[in-house]
Amino acid sequence: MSTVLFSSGATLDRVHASSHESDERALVARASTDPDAFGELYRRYLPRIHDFAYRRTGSVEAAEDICALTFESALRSLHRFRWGSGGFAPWLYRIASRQTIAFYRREGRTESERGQRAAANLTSAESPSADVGFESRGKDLDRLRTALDELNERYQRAIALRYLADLDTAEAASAMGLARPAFSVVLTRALAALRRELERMERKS
Amino acid sequence: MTDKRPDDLDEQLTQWGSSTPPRVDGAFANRLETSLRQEIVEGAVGADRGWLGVVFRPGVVVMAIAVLIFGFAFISRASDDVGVADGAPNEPTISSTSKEGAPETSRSDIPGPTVTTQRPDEESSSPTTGDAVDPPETSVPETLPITSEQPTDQTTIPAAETTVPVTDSTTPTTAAPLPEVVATLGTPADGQIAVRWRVGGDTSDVTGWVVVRTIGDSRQTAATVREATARRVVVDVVNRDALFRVEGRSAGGDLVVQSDDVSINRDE
Repeated sequence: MSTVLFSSGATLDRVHASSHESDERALVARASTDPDAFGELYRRYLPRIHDFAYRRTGSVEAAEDICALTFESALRSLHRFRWGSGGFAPWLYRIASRQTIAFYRREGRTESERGQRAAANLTSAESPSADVGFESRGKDLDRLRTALDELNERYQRAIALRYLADLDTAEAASAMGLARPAFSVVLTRALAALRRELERMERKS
Repeated sequence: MTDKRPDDLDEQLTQWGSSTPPRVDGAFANRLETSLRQEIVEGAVGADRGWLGVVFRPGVVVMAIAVLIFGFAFISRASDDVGVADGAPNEPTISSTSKEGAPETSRSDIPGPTVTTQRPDEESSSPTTGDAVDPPETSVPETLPITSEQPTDQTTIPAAETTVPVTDSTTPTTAAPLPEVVATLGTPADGQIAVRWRVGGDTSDVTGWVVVRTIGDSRQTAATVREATARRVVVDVVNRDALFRVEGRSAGGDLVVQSDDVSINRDE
């Protein structure tokens, strides 16, 4: 029966996607009062948010902090979440990207000498389990990270959501709260700004 | 890098995004999930009360009443001093004559009320727009004073976890929910402990400082602060038998929340 109904791969994909969406909708609807439902969402998205935060910060501890803040914020705001075209993932990534920006803002406010040392410890603390290949491209990544940090927050978020999160363009746009064409414009400008910043760093060095 | 064409930058960013970060630490994931589940069970979810909640939260109401009382007293006293019935209210009026015959004037330069301000709950005031709402970033001072001395000895502490009830709140000026310190001890095997703390699920009610203080023999330094935020403090553990406590302080330095003494040696 099912082979007749689902004769094409595309149809099957659509059915799976639809099933996944309805399943996730049900979980989200129950999550603010049902620990098991929230736990399911948490386990589904924690690795993705962690990867996103780690790529952006290069620090396991910072990534863990951002994860904790993201899920705590999500839990508190869940009752106001309304399912839209993007679904749950872009909403969660939007929180994560804001928390990442807030992380850098806080780090930038570090003023005391001891605080500076603590911040240095935080950013230099790498997990021994970190992907060696990932960090072996360290210089390029550090330059990209440093240049990205210098952009305005909107551009930082656009680039991070488009490239460092496992979101497609439509989802990244949704996470930014923009329509796809508007997001493309922002992303183009963000990349141009990033390129200029890299050139400025090159001249400075 | 900079002399590369746009496609190269796109390529580099794509590679960056396709890299494989380290896996999530299982102990961290379990602790966070437990903490979040506990918040749901305790009903902390939904404490985000929106702008009405901000307006009518106890601290704001107390502050508004205080302002009204001081304001009323100020106006009332100023009215008495200037003799409202006699004419121009803002000019000093002669109210009595001294024995020496010199007129005394009453003045309206009464000092204004001292008002303590409270940090608004930013999470609660986030607007609802469209289909996805995310909370605004909190702007909490993050760099914290470090009171412990440099370590003299390093000891690996086995993983353990404990919840530390807060026993004392020395500045009960607001009716904020009781703070709670959640201490997670000996997270990795390198002698670190991580302490998470919260106030009714929302640390924005208490901002400022977190101090880890060793207790008992001052020569027995238990820990040095490695990294600290308003929500979490990570310390390097030195002496396994020492005690410590976590203090949350307001931006003005007042002690707001204090945990019980916690033994670092929690491997039982």
